Amino acid sequence: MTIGEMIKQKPYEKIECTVRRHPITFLPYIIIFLILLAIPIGLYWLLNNSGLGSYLQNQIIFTAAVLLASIYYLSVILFFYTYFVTFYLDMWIVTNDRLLDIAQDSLFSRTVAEVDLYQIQDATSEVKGFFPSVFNYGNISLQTAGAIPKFSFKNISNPDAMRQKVLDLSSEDKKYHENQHS
Amino acid sequence: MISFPVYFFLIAYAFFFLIFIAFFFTNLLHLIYTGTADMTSFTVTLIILIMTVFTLYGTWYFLRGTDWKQTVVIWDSGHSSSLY
Repeated sequence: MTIGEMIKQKPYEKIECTVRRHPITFLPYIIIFLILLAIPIGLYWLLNNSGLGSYLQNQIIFTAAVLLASIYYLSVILFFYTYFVTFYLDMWIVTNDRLLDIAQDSLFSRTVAEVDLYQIQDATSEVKGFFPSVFNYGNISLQTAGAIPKFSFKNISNPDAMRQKVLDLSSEDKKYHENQHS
Repeated sequence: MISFPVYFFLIAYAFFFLIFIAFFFTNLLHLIYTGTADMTSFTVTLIILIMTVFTLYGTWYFLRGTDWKQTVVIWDSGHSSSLY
């Protein structure tokens, strides 16, 4: 399946861009993942150095410990993959007609909201903080005249350029709608 | 005497692994059905698969000499009688 099929792209509609959160915002998950992977190794080292390592000589305890460690590692890997999928599916799609916000809150919770570009009234971009300034990512909030009064892009790369792009597309769409009505 | 064979651990492990596979494929299908199966998601999925295979190989490697038929004794009446 393509993104176009997912959003039920109209025949005249062209996908301008798909926007995701800046990859650097995924870095804390990677760090936590690496720490979690290191915990059993640290525990094993601690057991061996505290004299409790002799318990692992017992074959039954050793078997149970290896299976538990394996379950732990598979769980950590699965949680990491689930976080990645949640992160990656959380996106914004900008077409020449509308703007879609696909919010993936968890693996089984997704909210899709959309607004027509001609309904956008005002756009604000902000880059706040040390890391956002260094890596140039931030938020955009859009005021609309539609059913959803506020629309926001969170932690996206280059928010100033994106704001300008959305405003340009919005004014083009407004012109198109004005010509249709006149 | 209350006891169970060591392969009970393996049954519990297999049960957990089934849950793991179910969630793995749920994640994978999410990526496919939302049109996000691209190079990035493919790379991450490949890394996850390699890590899973590595974990399973490690588990097999450490447990390859295990006698799965030996029994784990939880409680033996002899334990309490030996106290007196």
